[in-house]
Amino acid sequence: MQDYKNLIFSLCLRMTGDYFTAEDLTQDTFLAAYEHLSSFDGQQEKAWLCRIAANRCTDYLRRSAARGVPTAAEEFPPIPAPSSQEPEQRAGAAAVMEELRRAVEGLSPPYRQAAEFTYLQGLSSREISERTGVPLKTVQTRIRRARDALRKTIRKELLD
Amino acid sequence: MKTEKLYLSDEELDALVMEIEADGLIPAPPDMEEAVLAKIAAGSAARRPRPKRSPAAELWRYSLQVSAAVAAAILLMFTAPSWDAMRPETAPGRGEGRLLETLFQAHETEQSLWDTIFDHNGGAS
Repeated sequence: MQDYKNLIFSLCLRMTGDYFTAEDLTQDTFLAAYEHLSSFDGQQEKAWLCRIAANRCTDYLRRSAARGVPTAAEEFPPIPAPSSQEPEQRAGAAAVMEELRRAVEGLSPPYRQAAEFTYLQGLSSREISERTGVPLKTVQTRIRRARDALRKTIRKELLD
Repeated sequence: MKTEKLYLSDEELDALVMEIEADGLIPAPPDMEEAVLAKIAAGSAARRPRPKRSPAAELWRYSLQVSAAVAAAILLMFTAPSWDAMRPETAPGRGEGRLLETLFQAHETEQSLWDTIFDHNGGAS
């Protein structure tokens, strides 16, 4: 998981265009991989994980389209081949991160700090607790609430 | 099948992965591993089968429970009255003694009253 989590997350982010959906789908991918580990032949694990992630993302986009829920992915189906993508589309992940950064700035102070450390600086809740002196449980609660608020904010921006 | 066409082909997926790697990977949220491991642990605990006992063992266990309950009930049935007798305010000896004492005091009072009446009448006659 350590070796591939960034790749799988980046793939999910590229396919869905939503930070928190990508987070959920990355977790789903590793859970599915764990559950089907017995059927894995032990070769090309990177391709195997990417296949699981890509199919999960496609399923998610299909379900969202069926429910009429807007997603950040502009074209569906199918996801265009990389060679056909415009430079603007290729910068999609950077745009998502910029959108996330703006949403983090809009949070109230304790949650903004937790979100900045977590999503922009990549610190774990334990590291944030050690750095700020705030109890670990409090940090985890702030991160969870910040995540909920960010998810709502970003979803609302997509609807607008 | 129509839905099969929605999935990326192997070539498309390989190209997409190569491009993502070339553009630079986005770091995953830091606590993701913990979250995944927690979900795996929670799922494993939920799916863990309870140890199965044979029907004979179940019957034996149930019989033991019923027997213990019956024995406890019988024990309580015989010992509960003696608990009540051991309470000081309801002990029969002390209660009866107190009653006799009260009756004796009442008898003495009555006797003294009659003596007073007789003395008064005797004095008058």
